[in-house]
Amino acid sequence: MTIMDRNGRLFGKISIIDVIVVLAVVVLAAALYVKTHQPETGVNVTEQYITYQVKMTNQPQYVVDALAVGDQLYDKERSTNGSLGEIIQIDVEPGTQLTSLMDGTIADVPCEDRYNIVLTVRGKGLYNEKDGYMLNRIYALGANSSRNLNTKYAWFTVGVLNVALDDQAAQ
Amino acid sequence: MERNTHPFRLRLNLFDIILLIVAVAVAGGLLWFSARSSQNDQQTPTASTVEYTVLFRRMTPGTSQLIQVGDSLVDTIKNYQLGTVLSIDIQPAVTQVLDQESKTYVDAVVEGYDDVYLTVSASCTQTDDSILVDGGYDLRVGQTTYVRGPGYMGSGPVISIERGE
Repeated sequence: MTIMDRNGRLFGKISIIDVIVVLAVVVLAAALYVKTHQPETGVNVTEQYITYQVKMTNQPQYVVDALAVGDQLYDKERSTNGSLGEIIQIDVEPGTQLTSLMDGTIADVPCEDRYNIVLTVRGKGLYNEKDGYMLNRIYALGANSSRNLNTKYAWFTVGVLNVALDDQAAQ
Repeated sequence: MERNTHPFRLRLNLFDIILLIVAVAVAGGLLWFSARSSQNDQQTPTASTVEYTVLFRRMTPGTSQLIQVGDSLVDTIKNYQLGTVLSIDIQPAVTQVLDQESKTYVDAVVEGYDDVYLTVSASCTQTDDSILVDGGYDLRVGQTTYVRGPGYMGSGPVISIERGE
């Protein structure tokens, strides 16, 4: 018995066209499985908690009042894939502003009725040496960057002070 | 030439049936996956009312008297309906200036000008991350608003938004 007969059937039973279609369906099914079970970055790693601190300077009292522990942080100007994390601590200190003085110097001088605010935020993401910290796998964040962020209730400009991995893996 | 007069008959063998079942299962899986993804992306907005305070900074002398409780406010850039004035608090305008001697920014009153605090009530839709007034105006503390009322205009930051529980 030949492998393929004159009608294109394998062992005289199965059409070669049917076999090709079966292979195509199997590839589709495999693609569906990979799409639903693998991380979007294509790297099979578990997300970790990332804790970072951002600072805003010279803010009025109403900005302090508009922030609360538990608020979620967002960036409307960039792709974030959701919340960038939850505010877990708010530190408020007397406000200052970098300014030029008449003696030719530049100094961080006090501002009456203003506050410097440091937010400690905990999000989820990945870290690798090539890309650094990637919140929600897609949002790059590093110390010394400046961002316009918002919660549901407030909008503000911050400088990023530091970013670090938490010890435990995110759920 | 002989004409084909046989009517069409769909003949499926076992192999074709298995193939059809697998193809339908894969298609169903893809539909389920895309439906689940879009469900995760969407938040259901809820209709409610929001009360917020906006500060009109440094209104020119006399113009703050034009503002009345009950005035309807409109965004001057895209004409969003921003709500109705509930209360008005007029204070001397204050700005920050640098005292070169003490090397400190201090509050200084701007003589003749007013800072006006307007408490406003507006219909809105709320999601987990935003409050939209009139279907599109993103309301947040710290954001500068440009507003007109009947016969006057003002600009300044939103300074508070009542948090819903």
